Amino acid sequence: MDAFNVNDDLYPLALLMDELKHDDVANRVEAMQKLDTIAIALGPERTRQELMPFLHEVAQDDEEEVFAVLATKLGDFVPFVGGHQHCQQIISILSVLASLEEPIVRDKAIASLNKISLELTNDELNGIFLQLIETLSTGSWFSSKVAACALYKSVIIKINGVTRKKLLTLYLKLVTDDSPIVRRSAASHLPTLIDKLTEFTAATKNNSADKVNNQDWEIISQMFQFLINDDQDSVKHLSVEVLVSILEFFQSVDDHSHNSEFLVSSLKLVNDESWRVRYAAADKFASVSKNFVSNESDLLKLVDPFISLMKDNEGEVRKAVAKQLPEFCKLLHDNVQNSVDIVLTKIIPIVDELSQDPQENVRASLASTITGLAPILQKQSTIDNLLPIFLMMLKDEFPDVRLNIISNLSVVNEIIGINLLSTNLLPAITELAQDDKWRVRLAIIEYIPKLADQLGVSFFNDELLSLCMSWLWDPVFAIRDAAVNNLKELTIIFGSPWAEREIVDRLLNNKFESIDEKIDYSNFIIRITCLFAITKLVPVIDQQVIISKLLPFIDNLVADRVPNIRFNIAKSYLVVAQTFKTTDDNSELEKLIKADILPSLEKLQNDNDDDVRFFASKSIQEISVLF
Amino acid sequence: MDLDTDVPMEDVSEEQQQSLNQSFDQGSSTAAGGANTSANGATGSGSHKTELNPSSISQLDGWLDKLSKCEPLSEEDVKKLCDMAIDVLQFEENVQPVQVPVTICGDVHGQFHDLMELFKIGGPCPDTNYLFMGDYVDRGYYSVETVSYLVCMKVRFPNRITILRGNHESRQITQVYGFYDECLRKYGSATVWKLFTDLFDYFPITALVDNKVFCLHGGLSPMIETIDQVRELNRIQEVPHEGPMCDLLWSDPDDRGGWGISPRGAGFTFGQDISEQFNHTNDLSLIARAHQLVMEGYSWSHQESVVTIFSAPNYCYRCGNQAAIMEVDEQHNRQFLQYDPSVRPGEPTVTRKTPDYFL
Amino acid sequence: MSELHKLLLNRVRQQEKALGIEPLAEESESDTDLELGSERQSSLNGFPPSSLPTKISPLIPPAVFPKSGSSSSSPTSSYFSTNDKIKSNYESTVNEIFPKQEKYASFQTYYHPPSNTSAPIFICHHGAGSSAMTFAMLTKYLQENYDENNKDATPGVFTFDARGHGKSEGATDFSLSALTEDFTYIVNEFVKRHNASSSSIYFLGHSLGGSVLTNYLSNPSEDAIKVSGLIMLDIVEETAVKSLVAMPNFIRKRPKIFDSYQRAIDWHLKETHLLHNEESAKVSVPDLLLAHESHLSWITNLSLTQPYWETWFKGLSSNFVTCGQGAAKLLILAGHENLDTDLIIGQMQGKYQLIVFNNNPNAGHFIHEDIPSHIAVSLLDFVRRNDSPEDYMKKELGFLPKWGGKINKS
Repeated sequence: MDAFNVNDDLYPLALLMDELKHDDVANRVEAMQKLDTIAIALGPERTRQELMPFLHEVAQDDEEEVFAVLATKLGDFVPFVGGHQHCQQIISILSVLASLEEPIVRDKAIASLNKISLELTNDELNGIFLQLIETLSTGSWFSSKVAACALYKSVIIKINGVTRKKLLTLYLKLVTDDSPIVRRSAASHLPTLIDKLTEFTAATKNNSADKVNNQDWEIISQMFQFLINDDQDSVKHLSVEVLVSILEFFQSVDDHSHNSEFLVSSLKLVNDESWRVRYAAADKFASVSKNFVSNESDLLKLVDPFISLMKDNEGEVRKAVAKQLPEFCKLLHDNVQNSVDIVLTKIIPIVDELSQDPQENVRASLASTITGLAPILQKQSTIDNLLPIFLMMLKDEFPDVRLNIISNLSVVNEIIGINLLSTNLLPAITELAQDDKWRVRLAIIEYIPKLADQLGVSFFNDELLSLCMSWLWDPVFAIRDAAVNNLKELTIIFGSPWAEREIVDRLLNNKFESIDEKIDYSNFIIRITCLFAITKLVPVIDQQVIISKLLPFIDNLVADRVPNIRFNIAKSYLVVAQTFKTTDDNSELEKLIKADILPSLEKLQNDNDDDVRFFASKSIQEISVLF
Repeated sequence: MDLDTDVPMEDVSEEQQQSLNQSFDQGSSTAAGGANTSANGATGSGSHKTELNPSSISQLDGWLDKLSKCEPLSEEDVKKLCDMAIDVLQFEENVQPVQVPVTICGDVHGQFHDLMELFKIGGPCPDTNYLFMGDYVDRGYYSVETVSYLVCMKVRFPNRITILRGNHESRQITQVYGFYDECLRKYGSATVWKLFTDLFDYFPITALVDNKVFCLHGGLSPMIETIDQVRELNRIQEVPHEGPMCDLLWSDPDDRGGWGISPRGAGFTFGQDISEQFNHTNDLSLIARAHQLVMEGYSWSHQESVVTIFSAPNYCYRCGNQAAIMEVDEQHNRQFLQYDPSVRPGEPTVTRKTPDYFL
Repeated sequence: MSELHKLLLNRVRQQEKALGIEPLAEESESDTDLELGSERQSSLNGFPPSSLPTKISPLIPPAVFPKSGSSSSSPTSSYFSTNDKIKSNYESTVNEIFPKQEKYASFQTYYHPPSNTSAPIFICHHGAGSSAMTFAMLTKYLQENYDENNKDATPGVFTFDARGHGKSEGATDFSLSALTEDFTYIVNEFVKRHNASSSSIYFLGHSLGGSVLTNYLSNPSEDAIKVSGLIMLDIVEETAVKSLVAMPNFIRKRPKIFDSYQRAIDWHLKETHLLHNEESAKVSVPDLLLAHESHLSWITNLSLTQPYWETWFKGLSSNFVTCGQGAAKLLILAGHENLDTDLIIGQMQGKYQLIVFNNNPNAGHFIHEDIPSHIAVSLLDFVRRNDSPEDYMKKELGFLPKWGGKINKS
């Protein structure tokens, strides 16, 4: 410390060095966060001469938290050292950090290196960066090789054909490395590398000397063969993504000459004995399949593998392939003759099995995609074959299954029309609406707004409204409560005039088709439920309806003989007042509050029941704050 | 025994002594003045107590909030709560009058999550009026939370909820069936158990819904022919081993006529002739009681002159029974609501140490 | 229950006693014994679970108890001098308590007749590895507590050694059905010989004995005797079945021989805490041992019973709740309430009486030996309530029914 004084230009560095010696790692992390400020204070020259050597030392002796910050900060350091021509030091420090075993530090160092690569000239890339990749790739420790795999993508299309071949050969060594961790890293970065080459091919002219050639593909093909035959599941399953990238390249250049080989590879993956590999194949099934559309028979050869995945004994595999169902069927539909027959005879029976899968997450996954089959099967086949499965899944004990079906019904609606859907769907909903288990009834009520939105108001009025009203009289409170909330949601969807006509008038006994529908207010539970419903509608219905219909209803119950009603009336008045408050021009409403609501509340404030008095006073107090 | 641990115990003991004296005084004064007891009857509920002040209300609301998440109150708060509850319960009658509409419930036994399920079925208190017929503690894993919640609700809304005493609301029984151990486990001392069991002495022992439905935990007693005779009892005491108060909390209806010795070892069994005579004498339409596990949650006896209601579904997390509650409306119509155990993250499994020798 | 809590509870009890409030539990006196309490620590079951493996070396099963070179303070010779004393004391006690000792075929039976024909008779069945003398002290206390107004009136107690136990001859079939057949024979023979068919008979079974009696009542033969009540001592099916797993190890590790009666009694009282009452142990333990020239060995070979354990308790709880039409039932547990599902349902439907001597440090699995006077009080209370309910009300409770007619027997 004595070597520096406050006025010294080196003071910031001294401060940093001091801070970086702090015992507490949190302090050192904090100091490292200020690295850019210090670099700016020092200027490029001194940063290069004094800060960078110091950081080089730090990079070899601290803890991973500090390293992680340093690695991140260095990604933005190019301007601080005076531009890309001076980046050697940064790259050198980052290469140290990238070789560390700690994945967090390594990932941050690699991200910074790839970021810096964008600022380098081609010469610099071919020089410094290539050198770095080669050094890391041939390093003796696994961590540097793991880091190297992630850097190839920065240079692979910025170098000439000869160098690229050299690099690919080097990468092949990583793909065949002794350490599974290295092979895993190589396999997981390979698809990006191939995608870059695909991009590059599309952008380069055919006559370019640096065009990706057969020799390059020869090497990549070798890599794929190694990966698909790797003895480690954790490596092998990554070859599925590699296959997709390779297929996409050949598809992009319209070369189908290798398709039969790739098909063999695809089938090998689908039939792999490791479920992780089959899972990866199932997860990417449509992505793989879409590259075989040029040949109908190739695509047809994928049907049986698809079915075998749907019947897989591992639930995760079935769940993954269920997600692929509509996309794969659409590929068949668009490219194969008689595809509907194939779907109907071969796939639908297995879909039927999956809809009764013992694992609920498999069924839920299927439920989220199965409605997507309707456009493929078209009207009659959907009615005959899919609808029965939907209806069964609507009764599934696992709510996610039911929700996924109901949330995706609009696509079915488009295909078979609302009438047909309704005639089939309604019995199922009605059945569920009367299920003995109240939680099943609750699940259906909670989906009603979603359905209402999809099915439209006239259908709703005809088919579902009376059901929605009947839930208000359920013996279980939780159902009545959900029914009240449902009416509010419906009012938001269909609007105030609808709610006034269809809900309010019914609740107020202004409208009933038969005497059975007339509400018997002599029962306490019915009165309080109506009150809850009316109160719930207040915030979402037109003011004029509140004044003309809802408020009189509330006023009417002020003298109810049951105290529970009376103190809920006190609460309802508050809701009305709060709603009025949100209206822009509320001077008329204020009058109403003074003339109607407050006198009623004052009457309740003198009630002989403690709770009525309490809630009346509370409402009066809160209203006086509002106005 | 360290000196350290001895110190707080002295405090505890003093507190207990005080509360014992208090309860004793209360008990003797009630016993001494039969007029005092009947005065309660004449004036009806609500006239003795002072209304809750705003700070008590916000405190109670805060406790209810905490308890509704199944988090027990602190020992200090339990003390405050029990003091407030004594203020309310000591003025209630042996035969507490209750208005319709009301929802009548049976045993809960520390199954807190099922109590929350009950409120989902019957509606939340205070919007719905409730009458619980005892046995809030023991056997389930959340006796502390259950009884704290109900007592808190009672203090906050005394006119909306009635909590009767069951045979498990007793010092002796709670030491055998779990509440005592649970208090030790959750609070590290028996103070909370002491506070609650002292409070239990104040719980009313029966209720009369609109003069027509007689509600109590157990059943009838050969020593109690009229409801007025219940009013004459000194209830503020530990549940006795025998005698009329014991019978009201322990007896069971039976298929055989007349009185019978109860297989339970306390209380009696009573036949249809007894129930019918009692209902006739007292101009009742129904005796509602709890106390017995019934697989459907409720069960009629004696040609609908007695109903048993049991509100702990899958009792002890293993008996496989449904639970039920009974809604009585303004016209005295009755509706039974049955329900299953609540959906919840797994209960702690019942693992008990097995003895090393057993032949 | 921690020591702190025990102490606290004791203070509460003392205070309550001082204030004239009913004590918390019947066992308050014995609970004040803090010395014993702290020894038992947190075990709520019969005895501390850790005592066996730690005190008996798992590597070298002791052949003789105590092991040679034991640090026992008293010299070995004093045991020999007391040995004969214990033996003669045992013999005179047995003869005093059970005036009638007869052989029924190969079975040794013991009978203390009732004072008159209206007094009840308890017919008792001991558990596996035990013997008739497990009920000796209980029998004694049953006499003392029967009728305060008439000291001469006493209930009868009949008991016997099961096959392969005590002084009954051995057999290799220890199945529940074989044991039940034995009991059927013995009980019929007893009723015949002593003309007891008009007496009020109560069955009392400890552990396996409870299961045999329940089995007898569950499958009544045509000539089955009429029983007023069934009492089981410390037996719950679920707990029993679970505990059987640990039994082979227990049997393997227990000493094969003892060098004196005192050693054997000490082993029961101090080493394993199987028993807690010395007076009882002095009668029951000698009855378990066969005297050789220089040592004592177990009469009963428990290992032989192992193949039958599975059959012993199957369906016991459900049978206990439903068996014996009209018979009153009482279950007495030591330790804590550990009912299984069938017993919980039965209890919650009011099908039987349960008494739990919970957290009593002086009572274990052999609860009738450990606290015979308490058990005697409970049994007699149970019997009086059931045999003459109105008398019981009048005499014990001091009031009479106001209405509804007389009180019926159960």
